[in-house]
Amino acid sequence: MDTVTTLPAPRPQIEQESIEKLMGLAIFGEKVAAKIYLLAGELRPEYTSLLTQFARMEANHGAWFLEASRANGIEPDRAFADRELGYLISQVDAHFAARDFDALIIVQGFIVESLAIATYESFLPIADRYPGTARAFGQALDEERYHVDWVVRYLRLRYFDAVDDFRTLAERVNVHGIDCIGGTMMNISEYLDNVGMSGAYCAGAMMDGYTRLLESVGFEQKDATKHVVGMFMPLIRKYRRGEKTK
Amino acid sequence: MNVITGIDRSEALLWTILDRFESLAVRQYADSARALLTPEKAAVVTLLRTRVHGDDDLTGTPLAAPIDALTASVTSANEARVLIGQGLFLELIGEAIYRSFGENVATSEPTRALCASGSAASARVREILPGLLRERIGTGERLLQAIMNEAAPLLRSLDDLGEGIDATFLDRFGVSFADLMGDVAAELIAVCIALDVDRRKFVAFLTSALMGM
Repeated sequence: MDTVTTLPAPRPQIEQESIEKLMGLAIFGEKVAAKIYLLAGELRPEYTSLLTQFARMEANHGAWFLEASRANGIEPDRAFADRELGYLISQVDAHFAARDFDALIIVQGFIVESLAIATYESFLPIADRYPGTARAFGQALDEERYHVDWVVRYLRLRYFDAVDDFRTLAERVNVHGIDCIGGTMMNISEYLDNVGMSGAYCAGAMMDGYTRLLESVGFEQKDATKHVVGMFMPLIRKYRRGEKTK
Repeated sequence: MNVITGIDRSEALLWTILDRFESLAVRQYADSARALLTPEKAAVVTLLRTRVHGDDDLTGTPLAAPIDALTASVTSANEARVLIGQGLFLELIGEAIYRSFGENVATSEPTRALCASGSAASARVREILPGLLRERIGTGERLLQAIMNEAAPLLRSLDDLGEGIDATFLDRFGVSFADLMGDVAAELIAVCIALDVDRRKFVAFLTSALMGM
């Protein structure tokens, strides 16, 4: 008996190019996340084992995303990812050179994870358009949340009676961290729109998520909001003018 | 130095902008939301009128068009637009301005006095407004939908205002649009949470609107 195979319709070029950029960023971003946890683990022997495990989980996410991309005819755009991640890597290297464990933990555990969680959460409702991605992103999302839970617990204990010190640290790290990762959020906004997500919703979710993390370690709600919105406004204004943030 | 008012040019501009906000508030509250027409609001308008006589200090500046657009975006006979655009958003923008300049060592004594009066008037509106919003519009999702409808024009008009504020006040007073908006957003979110608006949805709306979506 003859069988009729229905091939999926080719994606519009704008969607194809956008999903290749987004997947590139997700895959190589996960590799950078693994690197950050490994570097942080090198600085604090008591956390080496745990953070090496976190790094392995992040590397797995990248591998899952690559496999799912290939299965969907998506060639991750490495050049785009490298452009977006270069600024982050230079910050990470600077924090590592300064042996600044807490700065690395905030950059990765709060700022980078906020972008990952906001975008992965928003991707799941449309993931069935790319078979195999729902499972990969769903599990990655659960694990990112687990990492963030640990980071929150670590920071709460570390700054239990020193919230002002945490504020000083967060404000210092955020100057470049939010400029970098928030800037990436703005730069990918149109690509998110092109694949059927909402870049603006993801940006709002990232801002809200990051604000809540600051609150969880001791910022007052209004202070946290004021701080995060103040950091994002210049990025939002650049976006409105059609300027790239990096 | 502005001879008529005894305050310098940039402060005279600030007074004129606040006069535009407060005069509009008084007109709109008189027409559509009398509960917000408080003695404190009348007092700040009276104080502004002692020094501001028209738009001369605003005309021709980078802030003239953005202030026109901002005030036009909330001018309405519609009660919901007045409560949300004027009573919630523009009041909080005004309050953020009063706070930033009132606590500023670079401002003159008359301007600090104006800011104290203006802050008191805005704080009074902020006390009354939640009850009015609850009664006249509702809470939760219903209020969020109304906010999305009524505040979007105002939020879209803010981009040009930011440029003008930074160009005019950042060097002289250290007041930036980003900091003002942080202040406004913090207060807005607190008000909305108290009225059962979903925080994530509200922040996403605010971000979208500011991004020009």
